Amino acid sequence: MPYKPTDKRNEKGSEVDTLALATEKKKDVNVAIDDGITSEDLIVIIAQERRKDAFAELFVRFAPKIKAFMYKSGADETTCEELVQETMLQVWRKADRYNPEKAAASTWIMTVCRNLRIDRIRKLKRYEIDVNDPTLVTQESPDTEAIVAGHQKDEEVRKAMESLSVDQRKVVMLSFYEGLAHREIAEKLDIPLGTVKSRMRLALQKMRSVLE
Amino acid sequence: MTKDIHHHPTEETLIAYANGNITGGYSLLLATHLAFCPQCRAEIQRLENIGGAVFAQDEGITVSEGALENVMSKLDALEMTSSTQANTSQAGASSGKYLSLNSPKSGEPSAEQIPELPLPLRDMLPTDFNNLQWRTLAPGIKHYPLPVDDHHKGTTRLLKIAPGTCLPEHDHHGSELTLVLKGAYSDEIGRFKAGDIADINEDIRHQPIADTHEDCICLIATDAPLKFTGLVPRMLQSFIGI
Ligand SMILES: [Zn+2]
Repeated sequence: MPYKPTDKRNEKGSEVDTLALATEKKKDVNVAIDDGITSEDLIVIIAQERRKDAFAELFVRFAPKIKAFMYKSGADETTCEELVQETMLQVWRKADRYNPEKAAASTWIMTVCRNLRIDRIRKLKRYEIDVNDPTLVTQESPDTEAIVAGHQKDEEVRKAMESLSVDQRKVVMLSFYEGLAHREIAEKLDIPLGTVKSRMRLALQKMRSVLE
Repeated sequence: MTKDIHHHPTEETLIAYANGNITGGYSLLLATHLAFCPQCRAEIQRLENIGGAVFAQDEGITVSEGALENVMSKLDALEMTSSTQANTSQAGASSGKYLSLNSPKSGEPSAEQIPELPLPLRDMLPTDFNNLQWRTLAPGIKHYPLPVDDHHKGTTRLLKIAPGTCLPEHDHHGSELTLVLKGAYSDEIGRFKAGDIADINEDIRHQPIADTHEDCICLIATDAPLKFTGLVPRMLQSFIGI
């Protein structure tokens, strides 16, 4: 049986989460959509109230970034434009699966982009877990179970990127932005695989120390 | 059981999974390990946060003028269809099946097995391990190929190894990932129990042996055919085709 990303059970599982969020954030109903609202709140409003003004605001903020991401993957202009729309439509449909406690809006939207890139541009299949699967093994230890909230401020992110050397930044961009494997990065930059690994390790250490 | 996981994917593998470079059988195997391993799940989340940060700080490329209007009208169309489908999707919502790895007749579950398989692996098996149509590969070795979409670049299968059975010593042509689902095996690298992943790169030559009283069941994904060394293993290779 082929893997179905939209398993019916998932949607049921995430509905529970959304209900909890909805009761918690009831007071925010009819909040004004303007520059001051966070992207995380926009997605939560989309999930709970299906507000199109919130969606339009999120589109304005993210569509250019999504297009740049797709463009870097080698897609042509028409495909990029299509994938921008497709990504945003998935954001609308899957908004109830977004958990602002676990990830920044940008991180979650990046994963939607990443999966569409695999599916539409690379024409490959990526299998992934269902975060609402009750069989997931969990652990009480706060060290591993407390997922790092990725609420980076733009400024912090810029600082983290600036803390990297030019070489380190290049490796990070090729990996996290263009989705290349270490081996492919080594070929592209014509450097040994071991150098890619060590640059990456140092870059991640620096970024984490700034972001976390 | 998490504290019993001693073997995790390498950082390189985790990065490749987080950035979307790993697909097909490898991604199935990693997803299954992630279901068992909160530690690696947290690591993937951290890596995705970095990916999200890089994504967010890009200034972007201006989208075409009609894009927003266009997407809003698609949204309206989507709303129409989803409201008519809402009722039907609720009906089947609770029919998720759970496959237990425990034999219905085996009594006490072993300490070294995982109680339930996670998605998406669960949905690829028509029944539990005991009732699967295992095919014999060699004495003591059975397999069950999985219908993984990987563009024929490799193979993904379950391997069932009887206690004490030695797999032929072999080199790796490409790479191989192994995840133990039940039982345990040992090789030159160490001992691998349920939840453990063996992330083997191209340079390694190994000879695994199932070393518990029960069958060892592994999920094994390769991105190139295994290359067995020695005469008998080679004959075996032509017989089993792995
Ligand atoms: Zn792990």
